[in-house]
Amino acid sequence: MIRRQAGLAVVGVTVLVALTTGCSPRHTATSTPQSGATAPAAAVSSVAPDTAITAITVPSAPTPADATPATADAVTGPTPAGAAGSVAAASMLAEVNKDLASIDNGTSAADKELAAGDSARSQDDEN
Amino acid sequence: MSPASKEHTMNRITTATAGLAVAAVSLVGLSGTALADSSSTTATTSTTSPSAAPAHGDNLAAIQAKAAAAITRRLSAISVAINGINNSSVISAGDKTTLLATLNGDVSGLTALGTTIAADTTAKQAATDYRTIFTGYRVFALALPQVHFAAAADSITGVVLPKLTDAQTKLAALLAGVDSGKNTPEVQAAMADLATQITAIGAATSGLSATVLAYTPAQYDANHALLSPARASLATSRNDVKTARADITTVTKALK
Repeated sequence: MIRRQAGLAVVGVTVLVALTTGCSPRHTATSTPQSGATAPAAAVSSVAPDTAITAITVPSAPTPADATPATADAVTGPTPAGAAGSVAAASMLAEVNKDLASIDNGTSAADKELAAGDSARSQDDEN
Repeated sequence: MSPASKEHTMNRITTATAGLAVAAVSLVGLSGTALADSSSTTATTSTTSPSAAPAHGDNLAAIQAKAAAAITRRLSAISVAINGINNSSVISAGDKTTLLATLNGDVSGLTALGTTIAADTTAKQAATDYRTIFTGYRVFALALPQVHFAAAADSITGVVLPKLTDAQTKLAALLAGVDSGKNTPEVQAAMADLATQITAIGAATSGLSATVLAYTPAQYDANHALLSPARASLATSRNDVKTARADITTVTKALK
């Protein structure tokens, strides 16, 4: 009986560790994008050694003035497989959707500027 | 600021300085007309044709009135543009500096020119100075489009393009990992086209705002199609962004 309980406890801890390490890259990267880049790699590789994430950083806020979001958002490896990978994938897709919103905002701003420039050019200034 | 931009700005400032010097020795005239009119820009703009050339035979007073209206209209438009630049979240800091230097130089130059024209004593001289309102500044034909086209270019290079690249990177990671089973030929084609579009947008807009901002009124006077290539590049890039966005949507739909 005691041996069975001990076995269950070991399994439980193993699952807990696996889930924790599987999710840790994003959480670690969220708080410390620079220093956390290596730790998540090791953590993920323990779950899926063949698909280790070397670095994931959270994108900067999608403000129009943000001039360097892409370089800050480097994802240098494939997403891991399994449940943890699904969570990471969903999160990453959500970030892609944020990118789309920023793209739309930037495009809209560019369109307005082009229209304003065209409007200025259309005025009589040809003396 | 690029050397060309500096030269551009210096040319305009030199003109402004010369105008101020002339105005300083011309203590008479209608110097107050242009400045006074600046408080009623809307009425002036809507009731006159400020940029119309003086009609043959216009007398001195008529030319001076048209000049005052034309200058007021331009100063008002420049004021709006300066405010927009200061509040812009898409124009790069460097481009803001260049644009503000150019436009503030134009304000000084046009104000001084207005004083000069108001002090002119012959219709012939006033008509000659009047033409400088256009040929020396090209506010509507060049300066204001420079503001807007540079802003459009900066929006693409500073906001849109990085986000396209970011989305591309994330989608590539997904397709190489957990979603590798969804990497269908259609998705692969979309990703390939996305890469093509991003490359094209980058090539078309790299350095574009600097190119636009370097243009001078003198260059425009020699070539009225001066801005056309930049405008065409922006239009092409705009379409490329639309295509790239569609590529991203194709992939994200496949991954859901």
